[in-house]
Amino acid sequence: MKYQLFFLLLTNLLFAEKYYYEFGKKVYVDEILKTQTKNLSTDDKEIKEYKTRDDKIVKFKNEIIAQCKKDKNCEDDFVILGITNFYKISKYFYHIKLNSDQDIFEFSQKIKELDSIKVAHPNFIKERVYR
Amino acid sequence: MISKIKIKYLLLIIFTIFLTACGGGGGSSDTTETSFVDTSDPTLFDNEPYTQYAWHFSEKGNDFSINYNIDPDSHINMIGAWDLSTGVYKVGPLIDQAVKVAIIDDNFNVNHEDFKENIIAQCNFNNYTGTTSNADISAHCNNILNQDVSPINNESSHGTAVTNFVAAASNSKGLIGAAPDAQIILIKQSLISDTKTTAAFEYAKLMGAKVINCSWGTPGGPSAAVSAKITELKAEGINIVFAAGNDNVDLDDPSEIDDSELETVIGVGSTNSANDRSSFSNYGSQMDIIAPGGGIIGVLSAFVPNVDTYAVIYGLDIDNLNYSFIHGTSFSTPITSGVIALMLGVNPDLTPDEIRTILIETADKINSDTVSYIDLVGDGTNSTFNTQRAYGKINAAKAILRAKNEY
Repeated sequence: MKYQLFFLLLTNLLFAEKYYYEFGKKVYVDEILKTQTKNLSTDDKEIKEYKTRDDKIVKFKNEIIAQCKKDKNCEDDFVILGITNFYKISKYFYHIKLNSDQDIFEFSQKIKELDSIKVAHPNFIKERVYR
Repeated sequence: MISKIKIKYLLLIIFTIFLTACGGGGGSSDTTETSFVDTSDPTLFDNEPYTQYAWHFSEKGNDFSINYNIDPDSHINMIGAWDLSTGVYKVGPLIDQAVKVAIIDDNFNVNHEDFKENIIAQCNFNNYTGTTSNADISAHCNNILNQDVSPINNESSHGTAVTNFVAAASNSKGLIGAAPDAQIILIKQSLISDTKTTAAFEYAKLMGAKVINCSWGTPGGPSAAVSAKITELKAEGINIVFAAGNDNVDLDDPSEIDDSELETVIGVGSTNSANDRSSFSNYGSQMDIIAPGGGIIGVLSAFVPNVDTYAVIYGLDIDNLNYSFIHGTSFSTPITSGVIALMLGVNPDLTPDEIRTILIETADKINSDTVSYIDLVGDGTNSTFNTQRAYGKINAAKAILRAKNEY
């Protein structure tokens, strides 16, 4: 029994499904492992690419964008979760920078599940198409 | 600009007194009798050297339109609109306030002769670190190093062309924009994160923008956070206008997710010189309105030509290489943003929902003799819809009259 529990924990840790919440749904992703180019800046090297289950590519660093509900104090909740590196970018929106040992999916989920939060997902990096 | 407007108003007052003294100034106040005949001061438009090619704004009836088969109805009745508004409203006796329009785009030639006098702010968000507070967004943009929004080597710039359609001034140079007296806020962004986009939208709001022009799309559509930010801005009375895109696709296809489909924005498709939907324009049930964006013949704007231009192809009389003909829903969008600025010029209290309703209900149902428009609302108004042509093509003069409650 002891070994079974240990094995279960180990598989959960090793094969935990990666997902974040967006538009009220769980979005599952798989990381795309890419060979880093030497020419990339340090900032660019932090960008990771993932493929969603519906074949879309999403890119982000270890950062989250969150929208606080009106009349709620999100900042106290962030601190309780052990997040210290967060900045207000407008009245209800926060830019959260995670430490390298903090998993973006775990924290995206935890933040989204807070009662004070309306939206929380990775801080996507996208390219614009001019029309 | 303000002094120019003041002089215009003083002349108007003197002219009115003169008319009254002569027993004139009468006439019907029955607004149902409103005519859309061009009676405007011709100097606003006709002093611009390339106005003869601006088929998108008014009927030309000249050699250019005849030679290139431009449909006489392909314009959006802009001359009638400028009779009523140029994008400023009164905030006190002889005090005018310009409507502010923010343009988020790739880059801008801020020294362009046609609109430089209307620029009130500029900021580059490509190098915004996203680690600052609300107040620091202003600090970022107040730093002169972050105010460079120009293209590298002053090459062709999408943002420059877009800006020209919004607010090229009436200054006897080039062309005229839809809202020639509006003030413009230029925001540069290309590769972006959601936090940078949110900060850019916030900056537009901080600078007092009532309209934000977005002639771009985001592959895969906007994120939940950016959508939420747009919803927040709309609730605060800011109109956000998005281009539908140029792939001739039905955006109702589940695989197509586009910023222009958000219910909180005005989604704009393109019409061509034959007065129908441009063949490249995306469409779908979430589109709101269509406006000229070229097709068959392009729309002329401040754009440095790279290869070919209609001017070269057709031998038109354009000797200034700061202008060329272009196509795209990117250019239908700033025309729409400019018309919204004109509407706010006559009624600054209009909400985004009211503006959308007016644009829809006053739109011209193009090609209605061959295609059907469905009455989605069933209220007997003009809000009938065609999937490829949305609620119809903007009629600027009618929209502004309705904004004034006179149509």
